[in-house]
Amino acid sequence: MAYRSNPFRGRMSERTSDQEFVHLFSPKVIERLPEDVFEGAVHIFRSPPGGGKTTLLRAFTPSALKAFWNSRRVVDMNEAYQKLLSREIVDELAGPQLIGVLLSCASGYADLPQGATINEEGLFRALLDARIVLRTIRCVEALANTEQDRGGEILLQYDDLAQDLKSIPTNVTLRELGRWAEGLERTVCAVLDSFENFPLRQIPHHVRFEAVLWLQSVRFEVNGKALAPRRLLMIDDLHKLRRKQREWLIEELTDLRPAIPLWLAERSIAMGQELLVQGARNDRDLREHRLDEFWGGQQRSQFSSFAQNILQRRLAVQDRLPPGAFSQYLRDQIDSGEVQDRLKEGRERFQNYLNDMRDSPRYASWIGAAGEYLEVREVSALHELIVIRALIARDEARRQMSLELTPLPVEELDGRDSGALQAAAEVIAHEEFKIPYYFGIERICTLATNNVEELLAIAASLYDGLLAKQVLRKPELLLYASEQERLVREVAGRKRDFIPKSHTEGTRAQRLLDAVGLYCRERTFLVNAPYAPGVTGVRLSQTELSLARSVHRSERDVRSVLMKVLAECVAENLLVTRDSSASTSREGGCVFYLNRMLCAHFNLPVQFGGWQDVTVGTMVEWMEAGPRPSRDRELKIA
Amino acid sequence: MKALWQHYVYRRGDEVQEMWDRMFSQRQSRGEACRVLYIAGRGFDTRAVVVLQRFIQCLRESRCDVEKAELLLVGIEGYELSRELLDQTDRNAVALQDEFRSIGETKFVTSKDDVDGDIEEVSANSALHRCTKNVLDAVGDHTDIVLDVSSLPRILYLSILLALLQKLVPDKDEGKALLAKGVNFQVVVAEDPKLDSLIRSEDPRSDLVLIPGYSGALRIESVRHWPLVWFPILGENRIGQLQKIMESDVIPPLAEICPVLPHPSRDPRRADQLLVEYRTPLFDASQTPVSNVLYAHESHPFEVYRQLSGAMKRYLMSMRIMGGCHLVVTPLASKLITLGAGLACFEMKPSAHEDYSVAIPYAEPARYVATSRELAAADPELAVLVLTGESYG
Repeated sequence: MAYRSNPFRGRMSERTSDQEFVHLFSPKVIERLPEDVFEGAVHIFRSPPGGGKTTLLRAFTPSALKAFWNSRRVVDMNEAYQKLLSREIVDELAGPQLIGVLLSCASGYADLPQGATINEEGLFRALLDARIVLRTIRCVEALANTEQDRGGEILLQYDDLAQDLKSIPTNVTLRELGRWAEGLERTVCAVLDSFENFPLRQIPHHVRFEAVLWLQSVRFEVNGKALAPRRLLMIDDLHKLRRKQREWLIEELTDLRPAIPLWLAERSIAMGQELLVQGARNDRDLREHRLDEFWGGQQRSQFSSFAQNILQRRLAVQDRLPPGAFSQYLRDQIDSGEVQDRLKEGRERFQNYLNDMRDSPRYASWIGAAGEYLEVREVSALHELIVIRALIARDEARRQMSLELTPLPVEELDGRDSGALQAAAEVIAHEEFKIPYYFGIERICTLATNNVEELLAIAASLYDGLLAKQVLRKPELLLYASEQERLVREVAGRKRDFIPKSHTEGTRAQRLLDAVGLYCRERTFLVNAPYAPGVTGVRLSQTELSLARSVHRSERDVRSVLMKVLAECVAENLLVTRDSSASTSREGGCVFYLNRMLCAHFNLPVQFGGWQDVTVGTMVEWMEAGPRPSRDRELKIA
Repeated sequence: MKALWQHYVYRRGDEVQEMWDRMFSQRQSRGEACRVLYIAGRGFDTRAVVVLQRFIQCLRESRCDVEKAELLLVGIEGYELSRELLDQTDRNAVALQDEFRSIGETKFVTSKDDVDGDIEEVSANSALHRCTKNVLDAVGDHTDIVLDVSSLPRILYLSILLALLQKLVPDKDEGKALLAKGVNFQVVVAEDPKLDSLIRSEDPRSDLVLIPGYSGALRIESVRHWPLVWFPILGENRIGQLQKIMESDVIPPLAEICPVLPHPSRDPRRADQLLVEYRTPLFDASQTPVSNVLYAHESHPFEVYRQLSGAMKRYLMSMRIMGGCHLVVTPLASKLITLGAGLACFEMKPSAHEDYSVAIPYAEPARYVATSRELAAADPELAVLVLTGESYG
């Protein structure tokens, strides 16, 4: 039997018991669910892997709902229970009111035989129907398995809609129905596994996805009591289907106009070649939801509170560290003691810089202000010095154009300073003087790029660091900024190094990402910080995207390979896309931001924002040849 | 349950040629002709040429009457190789054909043969199934079937091995099941652990591949609740593949994990080094008890078979009280160990078509990296496993 030693390792969706699941589940995600998701329609949920799709779906399965209901009096669990109660998913007295049937598309559908001689669609529908029926029966048995229901027979009753059912028997008992579905599934699997040519008439086929209609028309009764009247069908991992199967499924399910909610979940980009063009339809019967957008954009703080809630729940299931907020173990400020030498070096370097600039009357008052910062032995003073240097560099560049000589008052220093420049100062101080930057709970949540799996990977490493301190009997069970940064950068390095080992186009993806990282560094670490806080993404304009898409679908064409690599990077959350709208001076396009952990690997800022236009040709070159530094490492003016 | 290969024929090094000499000379003295089907990979590994040369040399020297001889070159599709390796693949294919020309003709099979519709829509499992079926279709009235696994990817030779065994030994409970109507089925390996560890496999595909005939245990909904015992057979530089499998939903949270390590081994520290390599996924993320670790001889496939099938039988017996259990094997080790694991899976698979218990999921790499210099420097030792035929009469 396997036991987990680090509570942050291992995915929750597949690898936990129901009890553990409900303890680890953060109810914040239920809060973020749109109001209409329980309405009868097809709802497609998309996110990169580790974005929380399967976790969300699992929360609505009967065993999880029962576990939530059973724990309703536990203080920590009450929030989740109340949220389910408000959505009428559970009832205070009667328990779960919803039969949530969850299936994965990973199991054999894409391997069904193809060809003109076989009714592919019919076979696919038959297998899905059999599995929906089987899984529903298991769900119903799980729901009915309470003390008073045990021993009672589960009866099936149908409404008038069931008269239309042609493939699924309705005049049989639950047990007989189970045997029918089991037999059907075994026949399809035998077709899959066999090397013999199966007689065509023995290959099952259904003419529509009838199990959906069956699920919405069947009622279950035990001991004269109706079981959970609401229904939810959840189909996970849609991206594992063949392209055609996925199209059939979405199209046919939508055309059925289901009276019950059907949740389909898939990765952000399902088809390599269809980057940015998926999901054209969004209407009354088909609604799309991006999980990462629940937290993204303006709502980033929402992800942070969700993330901290998850960390706290994980921390609660271990007993080696005192439970509580994860943030209590992370210092959120730099202790001057840990960077004393680096601050000294910074002051010396700025002293030389100020000496060089002393003859310039235009900056006399600015240099005077900077001199005062030299006396302060704090990291914030170093940041101010970097800001002043950047402002002088910016002004010098502009002055060369305008021949402006008037001395600048010190008040203007404050006027020109900005939040973005302060943020740039932090990342430049990190690059130039090795002052820790990747630390503190907020920044760590940001580094997770709205992805729970990435958050847990960082937390697992920090947890190991804390355990090490505990073993070494360190007086303070707390990670300092530099310790956090070391651990975060180790995780980031592993993530980068692991790309060829974990992705189909991993070697190319790694070369491309390395090149993007290097390019972003070259555009970020300029002394005048022109793109403050820095550049962390590249953009392809619509023209470039059309150029990349226009190629013939030949595997040898490098542009089509680039599209495949980009699609895979987006699907795996290595790149994050944001639409960039058109303006008077430029056309629209798509920005590919580096994953925030990769930003940590390349010492880039954690904020989204700065990007630079590139061409498909450049990206192809990067993908095939990898990074080629075009500048030396000294800070220069753009 | 009696072990199928309780007695076995296994030869290594010089003994291989001696065995072939004796086997074919006896055939010649009995005045029996042989009809040979020689299956090899159309791959970049130069060891396949060495094996074929030695086999043909023995066949010729025995003066055995070769009534029919066919070389079936299995094309390996969908891998990304450097120009150097692609050129080496072409050179090997020419060399294999030239070598075989003296005794018979060459046929080619690939996974892309007879594909209806969009080739990109063919899943990895379907491609493997199709390729294996094409190999099976080539088997006719042959008296000798030789499967050279030296230049075949692991997933492909395991699939072919198990499908051929299923065809030759349809009823394992029969008295002399391994006699297989006198068809001598041999598996030949040119083993060079050093070269194997130099050939790096990268970019594991995102979809898991399941060996045809050994997939039901992970697919059938009605037996999904059975407990699962997973035997990852560990080898160097395969951590990405192992993690792909762990991240998929085929290995449930409460699976019993029994890592299999190569020991005894030429390098006595090899097993320890592997434990360190796989520490994070196997021992940090899931704290697998060290007492679950199994040890199997690095160079003795029948020993691996014995260890693994013994463990599988014990688990099956103890889990019977719970209705049954799934046995899942993931071979990530060298060729000989993988072959032994394949034999254990074959033995443990129930004969009845509808019974499912053994599955072999694998995350196939998309890219192999090696240099011609490394390949040319190979110093392989030949090993032969005779799995069916007159030796078992």
